[in-house]
Amino acid sequence: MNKKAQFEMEQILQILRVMVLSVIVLIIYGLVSLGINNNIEIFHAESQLIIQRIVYSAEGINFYDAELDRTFPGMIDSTKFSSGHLQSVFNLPDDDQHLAVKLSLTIEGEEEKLAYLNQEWFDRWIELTSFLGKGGRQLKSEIFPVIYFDKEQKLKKQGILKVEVIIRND
Amino acid sequence: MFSNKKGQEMGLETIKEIVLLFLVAGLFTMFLVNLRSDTYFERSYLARDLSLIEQGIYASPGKILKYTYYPIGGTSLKLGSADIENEKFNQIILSNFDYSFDQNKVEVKDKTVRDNVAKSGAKYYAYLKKEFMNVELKEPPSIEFKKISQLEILNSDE
Repeated sequence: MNKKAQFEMEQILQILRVMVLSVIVLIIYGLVSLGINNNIEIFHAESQLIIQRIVYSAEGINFYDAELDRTFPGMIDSTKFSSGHLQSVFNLPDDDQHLAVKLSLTIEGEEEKLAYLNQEWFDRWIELTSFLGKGGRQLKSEIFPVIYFDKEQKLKKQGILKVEVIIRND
Repeated sequence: MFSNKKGQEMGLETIKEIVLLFLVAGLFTMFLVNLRSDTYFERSYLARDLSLIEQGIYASPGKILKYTYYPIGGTSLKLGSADIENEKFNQIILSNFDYSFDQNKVEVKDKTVRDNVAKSGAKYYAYLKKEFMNVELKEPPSIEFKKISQLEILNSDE
């Protein structure tokens, strides 16, 4: 082996050494990080509260009798079942990328009624709900048997309400 | 120490690597010492917990006359004239931090690093109503929540 070839061989060995050292450092970092957990998982509690807020609170979509000061859980007020009303309940900022909700109400013999909170992002995020970790989203879905109170026609109809909540993983 | 030139070069390389390893070990030790004194976990926990309380209060169908939140020493819930005490020990001390509540976020700040914005705060989403006025609380021993016509958040000392 001539001198030039020997020099090149040494250079390659140096690079290999640095690579091995980097791998060792990364392994040590990984082992140290394994013992540290700063993540606090609240998705299930948070999504449940958001569903409760929509379905049971006085400000939500259920019928509220101001005279009696009473909410009727499970009875949906037709005037409140809209994306605009959901937006006013949650006061969502324009640039919000944390929460999106879809409500679907099925009444026999009628077209499915839909209401959204953050519709644009809901449609995009629904594809990401199977991804774990940061950047991914989680979906919680619940179904309620409800009575739809049509205030215009003064009619009460039975229906099924599906609430889907998507929250970003933080 | 080394009899020939090649041996000297090899010795220098080994010393370089040993120094580098000590440097890495030192950095890790510093990282762990910082982590021990850092309050990110507590701030993050409190921001999330307070946000859940706000959401829970909004989700309740009725009025909340008074809910006192203090993670150390337990919590008390006032329903009419009855006090329900729930004594639970928790190591997070509320008065170690400052709090700000705005319409969309709860932020918990470490008062010892007030000037270091990046390190001081941990935020979480709230989604409060438009009528809610921003609230700043400094080192509260406990925080009181009320919902009669709208949500109110108070320092229990005031």
